[in-house]
Amino acid sequence: MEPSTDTTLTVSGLTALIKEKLEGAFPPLWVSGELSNLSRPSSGHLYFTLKDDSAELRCAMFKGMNRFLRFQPEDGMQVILNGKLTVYEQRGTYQLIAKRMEPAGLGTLYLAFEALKKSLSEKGWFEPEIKKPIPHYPQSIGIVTSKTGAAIQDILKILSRRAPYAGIIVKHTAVQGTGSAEQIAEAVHALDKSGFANVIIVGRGGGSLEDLWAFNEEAVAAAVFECETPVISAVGHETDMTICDMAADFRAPTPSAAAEIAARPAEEIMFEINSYNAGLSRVMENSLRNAWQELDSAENRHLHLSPNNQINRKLQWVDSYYHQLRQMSQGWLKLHASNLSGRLHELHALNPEGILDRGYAIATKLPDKTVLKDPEELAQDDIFELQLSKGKMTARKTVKKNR
Amino acid sequence: MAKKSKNISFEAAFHRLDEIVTALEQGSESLEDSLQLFEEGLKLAESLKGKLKDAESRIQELVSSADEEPKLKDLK
Repeated sequence: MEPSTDTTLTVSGLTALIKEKLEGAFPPLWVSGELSNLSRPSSGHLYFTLKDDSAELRCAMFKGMNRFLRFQPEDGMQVILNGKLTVYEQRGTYQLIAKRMEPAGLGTLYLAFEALKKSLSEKGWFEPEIKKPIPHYPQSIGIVTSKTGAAIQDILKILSRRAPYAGIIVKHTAVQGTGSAEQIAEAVHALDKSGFANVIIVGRGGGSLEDLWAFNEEAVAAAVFECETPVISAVGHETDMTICDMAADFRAPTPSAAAEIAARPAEEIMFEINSYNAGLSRVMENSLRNAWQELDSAENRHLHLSPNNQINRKLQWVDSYYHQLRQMSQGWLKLHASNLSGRLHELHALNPEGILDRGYAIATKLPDKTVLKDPEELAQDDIFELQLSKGKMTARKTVKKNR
Repeated sequence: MAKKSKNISFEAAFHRLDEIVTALEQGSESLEDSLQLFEEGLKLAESLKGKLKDAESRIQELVSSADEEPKLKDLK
């Protein structure tokens, strides 16, 4: 409803209208000034006035928000507030509902933080889709931090216990003070370019907001964003969220946690290798079983013809695989090997030599000893050799008999 | 590729192991090829185990900057 000269509004109606206009006109904003008339009733909410030389603004900070305050607000303090303008209808006043309050000095850092966060976020630097996966099996872990800091000790302690299989490459950098952001950025870049690391941990131990500040600068964020090696960021404690954390592929709450994320325990990887081994063994066992079945049926088909050379070829073929298998000196393979040798034994029973035991004989032409399959191959009175189970004898063809 | 198994990375070795097991499971290879794959798989697994067991983490420091030839030195 729009106000007009010929309508009479109720107080509530007008106030509702003002509320709507005012709240619609101002997005959440930052405002700076001096604290005064600070009161903290038993409700836990915080009420105060923010003022400067020529104006005052009524403010409230509710309990849910003010418990995150990192300092004790007092009258006379210069602060910056972030919040939303609202109209308090019962009193007909407007006020700022504060969500964040920071001392003015730090306040400028927060403003810088928010501004950079917004601009990088708009550039798409924090998008989940561009995050690179952390490798499952890093052989070399890079660390960008101070050689003398607390973080490096925490990280090395965990890595040496958990992942002795991985090499560690440290790139030293200052992590606080003037020029540290550029140094960190250069260290990330150098380590990335060296190609020595499969994953890079960048970070430092806990400290004040100013101590951690380098990790909120664009140079560091850019180096991390541009880094081709996956980056795990670990700055300060869990509650310290930095721009570097947001630009990294993975944010670890602490340097120790970063080490745990970078390197899975050797036992876990060993377990995976063993399950591959078991998989190999299983599929190989199946292949061998199938091969044996094929071989068996082939031998059964040819049993009556007993083509000696064909069987021998197959036997040789099996023998060579058997030999290969034996060479794979895996303890767990012994089971298969003994199974295989049992089957080999069975196969030997099908060998023509075994057949002789059952009363068959093999006739070979002399002198070249080719197996005789057709009486036509011999002329009358030719001699040939008969191989029996217990020995050989020479025989002469006496009767030519055509089928 | 099998010949290089000593030097290929963990990641690549695991990838190859995966390929081998998958190929063997599909059973489309001849017995000769299967055995060769099997052998390659065992060797890979062994070499990975060796790397896991024998390694003692070596800590080095990168002492060169981004525009220099990478240079490492042992860190005590």
